Amino acid sequence: MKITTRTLTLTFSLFLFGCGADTSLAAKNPSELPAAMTALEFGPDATLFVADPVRNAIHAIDVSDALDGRAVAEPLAFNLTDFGKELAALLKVDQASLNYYDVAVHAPSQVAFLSLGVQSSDGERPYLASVTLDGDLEILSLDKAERSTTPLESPPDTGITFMRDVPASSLVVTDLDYSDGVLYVSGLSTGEFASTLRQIPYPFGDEAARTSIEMFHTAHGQQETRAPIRAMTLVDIDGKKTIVAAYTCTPLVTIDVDKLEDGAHIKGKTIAELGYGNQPLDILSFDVYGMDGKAEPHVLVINRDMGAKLMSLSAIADSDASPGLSAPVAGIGLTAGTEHITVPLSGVVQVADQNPQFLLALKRNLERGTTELLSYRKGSYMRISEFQSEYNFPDYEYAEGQEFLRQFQNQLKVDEGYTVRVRD
Amino acid sequence: MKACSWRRGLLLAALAAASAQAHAAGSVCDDAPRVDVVYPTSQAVPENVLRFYVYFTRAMQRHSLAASVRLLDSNGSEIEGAVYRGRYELLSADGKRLTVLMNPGRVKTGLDSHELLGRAVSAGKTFTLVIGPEARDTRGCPLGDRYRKQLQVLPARLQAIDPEVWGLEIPEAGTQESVAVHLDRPYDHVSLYHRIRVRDRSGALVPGTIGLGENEQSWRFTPGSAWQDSHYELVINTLLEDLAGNRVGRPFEVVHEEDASGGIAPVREVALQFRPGRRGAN
Repeated sequence: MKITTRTLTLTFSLFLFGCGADTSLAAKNPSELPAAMTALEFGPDATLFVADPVRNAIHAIDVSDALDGRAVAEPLAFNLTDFGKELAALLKVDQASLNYYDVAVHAPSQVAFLSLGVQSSDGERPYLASVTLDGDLEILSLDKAERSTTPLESPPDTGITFMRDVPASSLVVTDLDYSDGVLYVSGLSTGEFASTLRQIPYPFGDEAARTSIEMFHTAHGQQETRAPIRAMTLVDIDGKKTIVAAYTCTPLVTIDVDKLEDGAHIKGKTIAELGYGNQPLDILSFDVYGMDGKAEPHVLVINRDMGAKLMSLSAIADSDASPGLSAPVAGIGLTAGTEHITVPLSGVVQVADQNPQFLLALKRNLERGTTELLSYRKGSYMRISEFQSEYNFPDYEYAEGQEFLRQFQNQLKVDEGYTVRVRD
Repeated sequence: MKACSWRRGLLLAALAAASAQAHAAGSVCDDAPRVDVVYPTSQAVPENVLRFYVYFTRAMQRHSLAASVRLLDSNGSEIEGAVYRGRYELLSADGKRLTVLMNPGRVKTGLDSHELLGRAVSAGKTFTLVIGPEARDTRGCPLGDRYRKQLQVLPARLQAIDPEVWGLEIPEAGTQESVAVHLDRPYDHVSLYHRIRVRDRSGALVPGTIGLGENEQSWRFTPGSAWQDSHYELVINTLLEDLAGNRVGRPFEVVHEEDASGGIAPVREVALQFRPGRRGAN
């Protein structure tokens, strides 16, 4: 893994901003620099949206410099098993002091971006890292990047003071999605309990143009809830732009984007119950190519406490056209609604859609205790090196009916760089 | 569940590293962080209480907090699944206030977790909120003293808020006496500070200072200048919540109405009129 030489100076400048130190550089534009970075989402061109829970704002950062004009046409895989170690070495910190928040991939260049914090006795310093398919790792210099910022909360009332310092409710962003000039922001309030979904036009501008929406969904036992959206994605159902949102524990809900109006309160439709005792981490929507080479859109719910759940968009569309779930789904392990399967993508910190062939996962290796950045082939959702099986024995003979299996396993070996293990 | 245990393992490793750094710095932890106050301040809460707010004396590490919060039953055993664990901690921008959200699935009837596990706490019993030394400030210094707050559990509070039943204590015109509101129940303190304001006859916001009474059951506003002999309004945003998330005109739990087009009140304001009195006048 190549480590860039300019990193030290960039790291130093970030350190100053992260600590809010009173330097001429920090004083130049102190309010605009991210004070913390969590959820990520790519917008148009090289614009990366970054949620900042300390400034209670969203930053739009031009990351062109980190792309170096790269363009990767071929869908290739990330195989960075020592990612955490290399990143810690670059930052000259212990791996244990790295707090990872999110991953996003710039599609044309296949450069991955990670939001993270480095914990030290001086506090947590925010960093934005980029890494290429070859493992070239960089820390971005945010003070030099073009950026704009939009606040998530209204400014406080002037002239009102409190007997004690009580910060207003702020929004902890749980997910970002961008589509057609609009950034969709879901979040959980630190105060009044409401699932809030905002639409912020980009480029950022007129504050009045944004909407705040409370979300209600018809959940089990015919109750309405103000539960927080944990993760979401935008899909197109028969020409209708629709949000598919996952809530804790884990109902799946569809929301018609056309119904989102300024100040409106709308009800989503509960289309599936995916399982109890779980936090969904993210929802991705992408095409999966079938045996016939035909692309079929799918939705994948990435989970913290169980395997990822895969469903076709057509199954979601069928559920969306139905009345939705209204009866309780109360039983250990019971699921209901949209037809789905469980795929073996688990133990992940975050997952991003990488390219037409791969998902990119930031993952903890349970045996080695390392942090890895690995691609997972869509359709398989597994890494062949993570399994010891009889297929790996040199004397294993593929049977006649296993030709597809042989080719598939060979493909997975090529993906991971094990070309010498390809079997005839 | 493997992912969970891994997260905890890594978290502990991170804490150990931060601790080592803090100790290496010598006396940096002399002024250890403490829990300043926990809201609600009352010693009793309804069984459908939705959240606690923990104020620390110093800005805290975002990653250290999840592992530090526990709810213990009357036998001292941890109540599993009582507290909501999210992807990102609900920490205020200044790093000093942690919002501890009770698992909404267990608060809300009809949801999977509630039906399977019941409410995390039940009326007539006691439980203890504990903040442990896993909580560290941004210097890496652990909480100086383990914080414990024992609470009695009251029956669930399921009714919407109706400001019409509040009692108003009207100030005298020409003075800077407070206007006081005696509430029908304890309220969410963030809501009380941020969702009630005073406006004058022209609709302009009246500058002044807001304070809360015992158990967040009264609200008091002291104007920055003397009251005019005129009409004022106490303006209440309908987002105002009590401890269980019940709002003005809308309880936390609403049985779904069949008519999907209506039934959900938009956020708005309701007003209570008052006119400061004149000394000696009836």
